[in-house]
Amino acid sequence: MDKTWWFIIGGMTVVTLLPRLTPILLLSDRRLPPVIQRWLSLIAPAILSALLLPELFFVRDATPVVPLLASVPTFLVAWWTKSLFKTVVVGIAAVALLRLIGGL
Amino acid sequence: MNRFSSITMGMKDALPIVLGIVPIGLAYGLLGQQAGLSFWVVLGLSLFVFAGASQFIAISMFLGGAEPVLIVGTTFIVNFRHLLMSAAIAPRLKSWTVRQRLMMGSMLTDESFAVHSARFARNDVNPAAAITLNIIIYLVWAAAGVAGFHLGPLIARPEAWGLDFALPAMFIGLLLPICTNRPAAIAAVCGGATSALFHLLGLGRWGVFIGALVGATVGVAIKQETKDEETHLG
Repeated sequence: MDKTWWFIIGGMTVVTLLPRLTPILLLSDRRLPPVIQRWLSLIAPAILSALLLPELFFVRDATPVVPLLASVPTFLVAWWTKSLFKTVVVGIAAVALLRLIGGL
Repeated sequence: MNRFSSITMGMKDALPIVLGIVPIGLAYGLLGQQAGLSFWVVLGLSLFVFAGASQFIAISMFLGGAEPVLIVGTTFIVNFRHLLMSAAIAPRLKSWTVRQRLMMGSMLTDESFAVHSARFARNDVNPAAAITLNIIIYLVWAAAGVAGFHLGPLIARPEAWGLDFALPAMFIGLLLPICTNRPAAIAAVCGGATSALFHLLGLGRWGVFIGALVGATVGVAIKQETKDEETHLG
């Protein structure tokens, strides 16, 4: 079984490294057209939101509404304090509290 | 900034990510142990592949009897989004050496990308802080998997502590500050909506990649339009 797994790991290593490394190695020294630069600068907000939203709405565990509810105080703290640490602490506390109240 | 304070800053930035990935790493190690994988395979996946979601998917596909080629192909699809993250970071690495770029790219994850983008948005492109963060995340991820493999059955459910919300909370905290202008906010709304739609359609694996493409493209188009309007009015 281990032999099969090392074959799988080898393949996975190649297909995870290629998309991670190729753009950085090819594009870092190049002067890109302004439109492409603007497009690339918008990848961060678009992709972070694309990662976040399914986490809030489609949860597989027993408490589907908890992440959505907890995201409200988390958004507010992020907005007001602009502190990443406080945002994460409030988010964790909100989820723990909601599950405690819900008895889950 | 000297090297020491850069490294300290990288460690401080890594803290919220560590909080979020430790419970996931423990769960990963436990899954590997229960699936009957050897210790070295569980560790090897973390060290060579270093991609949380793909490691979980690979183990469950293997248990389901999937062909190795299919597992590798799925990994490629799931991790293809890093192509966009790597491209988005590239213009900021002009002053970096090739070795530093390799350290950035090979250890790029969703979480580190989020933190790096937030720092680059403040025009802080310090390589020492960024690479320190990458290395910490890499080592913590591997260590958490090892701990989960050995201690898994002894660890109480992390959900009870709300730790499973650490990463979503971190994404909220990093997303808001970079949505200060209209195109960025629109890119975020469109990217998130597209990704959610793909999840609803059962195409979740493509959601993040397509969402990012759609979000950034709409954002650029909006900016262009606003500019045209201004020119027109002027």
